[in-house]
Amino acid sequence: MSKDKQKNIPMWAKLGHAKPVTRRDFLATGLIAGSATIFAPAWLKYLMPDVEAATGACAPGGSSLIPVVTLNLSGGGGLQANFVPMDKTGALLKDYGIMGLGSGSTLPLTSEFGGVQFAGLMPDGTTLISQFLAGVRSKAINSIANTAFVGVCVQSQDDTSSNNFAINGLLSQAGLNGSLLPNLGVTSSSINGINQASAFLSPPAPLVVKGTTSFSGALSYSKSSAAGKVLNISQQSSLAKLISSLSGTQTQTLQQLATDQQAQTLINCAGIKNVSVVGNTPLVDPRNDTTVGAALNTIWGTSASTSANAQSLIFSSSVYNVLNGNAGSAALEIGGFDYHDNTRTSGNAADLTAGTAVGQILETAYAMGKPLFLYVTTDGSVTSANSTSYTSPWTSDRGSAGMSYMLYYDPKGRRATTGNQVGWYTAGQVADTTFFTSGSPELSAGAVFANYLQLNGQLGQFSNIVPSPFFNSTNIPSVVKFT
Amino acid sequence: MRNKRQMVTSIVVGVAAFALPSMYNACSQIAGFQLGGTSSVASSQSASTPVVNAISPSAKLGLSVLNYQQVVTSASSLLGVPIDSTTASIYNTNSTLLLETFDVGLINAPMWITVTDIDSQLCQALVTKEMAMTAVNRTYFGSIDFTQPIANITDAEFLQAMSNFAAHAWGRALSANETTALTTAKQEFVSAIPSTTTGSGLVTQNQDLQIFGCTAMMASLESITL
Repeated sequence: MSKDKQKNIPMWAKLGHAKPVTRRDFLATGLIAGSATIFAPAWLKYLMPDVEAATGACAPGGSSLIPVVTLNLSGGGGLQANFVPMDKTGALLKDYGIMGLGSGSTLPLTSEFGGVQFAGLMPDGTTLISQFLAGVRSKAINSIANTAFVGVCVQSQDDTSSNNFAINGLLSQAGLNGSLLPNLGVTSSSINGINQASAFLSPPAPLVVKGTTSFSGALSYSKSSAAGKVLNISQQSSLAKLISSLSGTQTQTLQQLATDQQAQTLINCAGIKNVSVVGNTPLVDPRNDTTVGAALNTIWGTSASTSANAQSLIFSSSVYNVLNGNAGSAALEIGGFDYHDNTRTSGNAADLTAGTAVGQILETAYAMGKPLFLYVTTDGSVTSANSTSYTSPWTSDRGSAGMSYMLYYDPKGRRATTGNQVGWYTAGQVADTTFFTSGSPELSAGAVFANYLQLNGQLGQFSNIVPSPFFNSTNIPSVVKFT
Repeated sequence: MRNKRQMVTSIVVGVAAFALPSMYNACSQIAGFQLGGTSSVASSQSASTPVVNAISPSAKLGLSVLNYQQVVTSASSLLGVPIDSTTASIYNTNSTLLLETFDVGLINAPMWITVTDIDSQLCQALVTKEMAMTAVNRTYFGSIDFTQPIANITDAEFLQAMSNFAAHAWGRALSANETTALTTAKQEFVSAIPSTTTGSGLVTQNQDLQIFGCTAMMASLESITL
């Protein structure tokens, strides 16, 4: 049986029960519990997180924080064989033999992003060892000059979605919320919308974008439904208001809340907010944007005829909606990075794909004239057969040589950095866990978030947002690389 | 009688059961948050054991949710109407907005809109079904004369129908606040009818008002909460 078919089997069938219909049935199948405890305030914020922080009723959403896109390379890509990690002193390692880069003394290097070292040119003088960088350069034609880059050395588990790399929850807590949409993701199997676990805080539920219809479905009643068909716009708004009104009073009925008024405000706003845009079609499909639509089509290779569920259009739409503030952050994912098949071919192709996507994302920010923080993650890494050659094939997983990337595009110019690497690698070709964030994806994610706050001029908020005793005023400066 | 009781209990499960308790029994799967403790990959890898994250107190929400297959199934049973092709289409089109797991943290506003879509579709089917019945045999709309223009439907008649939903879905009478909200909403609904609507159009608006009320009742918080 295929994986897809397995996924479609309902829970009750997997558990060997008949299809449940009544509450008793659900109890019997274990799909609900036998007693209820309601914690309405705890989940109300998920309905409309931006309202929670707003003053006044139903204040408009949106944020002045820098837009964020996370690109997850699922499977454990060899990020450490593209950006070249250095040792504690900032020097090349003597040996990169099991990292796929051969000897440090013979490794060709090429500089990009203002002096960041990547695996350089092959003897042919044209082919880059780092196909990631090749991909970036192929697309980030205008944006690369204004982009800063930092590599984050961190060990992580191979081939799993349980590494706590995702910073979506931290971003939401910082106030990065969309004006119309929740955070965007590409898989419904995770609260983060990608196959990475949350660092420190769980985010509000994402809108899982499976095509452009996901956006329209999130913003209005379906024109196919009775609500969208038999009710006019005013009546639709009245319906949403009535649901909110009933629910608001019921919140008080269900339990005595210390913050009744706040809860009611939240639920009222959650109910009416999106419906209020019915009939006032917002721009959620970049192809309809008369200002940048054509440019984005060129960047992403899309057109009016592109399938609604094409990855290029999903990525383009997601980045577009994040950059214009409709959504808080976007989490995108590309598969195929568990590429240790005893060749370098598959890995190079995947790295090129990743770099191309990064280039497209950066170039989209350039086209829209918006700053963008781009966070590239993966799960674990790969190892090559020990060799002095920088073309040695990938043979297995090796998460101890893990890595993530931070990139920041600023329309005003490349942001200066105090270094291009958080942590360092050892002579044993692993991320050195004596550095406090390098042994934990979650702490490394905290480091990434600290850099994000720094870029927003809000580093002082770090301790208010990140619930971790491992960060303090002494060590935070050691992970912040953007000025 | 037993069927009626079953109907009453199933209605509690409800059309859009977002929020249900999370104290699953041993036969269930738990979709929990991954919050809290900081994991050390270095140490966990050496032991070849998966990282286990502590669940913070704030993550232990006393709620869980039905996934949407369950929602649609139970709603159909609750209202006694079949899932037609349009409802199925709405479900499939918006499936990415809908729950696949029982994680209350996956609730968001787009989901609520889609639940309302589905509820409205089922409520429309319910209105159609009960229009074909004599008033005395109707479960919900016994007080409504569907042949009358909307202006002839009194607040009391409308509220009686809504009271039936309250009784079935919530197991109680309408509160004063709910009565006020419904009355106000009815007035808004009528005010929003275009002035060009006349004759049979106003009779149709009566039917639409019942769909409107049913949908609101079934998509409200208490209908989706245990």
